[in-house]
Amino acid sequence: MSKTSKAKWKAKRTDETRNVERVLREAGFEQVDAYRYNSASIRVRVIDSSFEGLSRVKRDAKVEKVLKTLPPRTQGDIVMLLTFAPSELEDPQKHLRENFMNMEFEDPSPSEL
Amino acid sequence: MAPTTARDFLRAAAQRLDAAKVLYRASFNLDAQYIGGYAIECALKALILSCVSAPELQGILKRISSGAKWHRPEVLLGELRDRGITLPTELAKRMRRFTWTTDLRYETGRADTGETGAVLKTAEMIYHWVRKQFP
Repeated sequence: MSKTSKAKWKAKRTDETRNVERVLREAGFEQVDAYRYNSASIRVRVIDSSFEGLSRVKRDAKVEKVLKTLPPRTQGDIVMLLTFAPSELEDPQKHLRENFMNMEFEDPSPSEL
Repeated sequence: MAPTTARDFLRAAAQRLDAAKVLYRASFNLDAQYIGGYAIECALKALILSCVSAPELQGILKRISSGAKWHRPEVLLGELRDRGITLPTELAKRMRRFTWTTDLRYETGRADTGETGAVLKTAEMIYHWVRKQFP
């Protein structure tokens, strides 16, 4: 991960997305990152060792429980939720789609909106 | 023939959805997801075109038909939001689990059946929601 790409998404954080990060961290998730991609989309990434070996559905269910406590408008704007076990981001060849999605999160394509 | 109207895009969405269901029933899960993703793209593009004025149509059509980013639901949803259309929260929740990209075309193997069923359900719900928005 380069410093440049890191800065790119960090610059897209807002008070609303910082609140999403805070709420999820307080719920015990190890790493939580969120930013507003465009007027309709907040992207959320949760990396947690408890996801190891869990299906996507079970991971999402764990996170969704917490997202339900957010204001309805914020909930409606979270249209990207990435849930990774730390090991999945270590071997890009083994987890191609996960790593592609992670790259898009880290270095968001221009939206122009 | 390339679609030029909102109705054309909606028809394309319906056809992609039908094809995805056939693939799913035949256990071609990964391919069903790949084709099903286009149903969502076409449906959202139909909705964008349905709410632009006649003079705007050609310009918007050209814009949403060129460039890889216009395959991405997130970008299409942004365009809709800026035109005053918001995805219902229930659909937004389903979209969170939707990790479709056009790069699926390079993937091989067999995707999870449950995950594929959920992708197609999302595609179907988006398609029906778009249809209801049509004037």
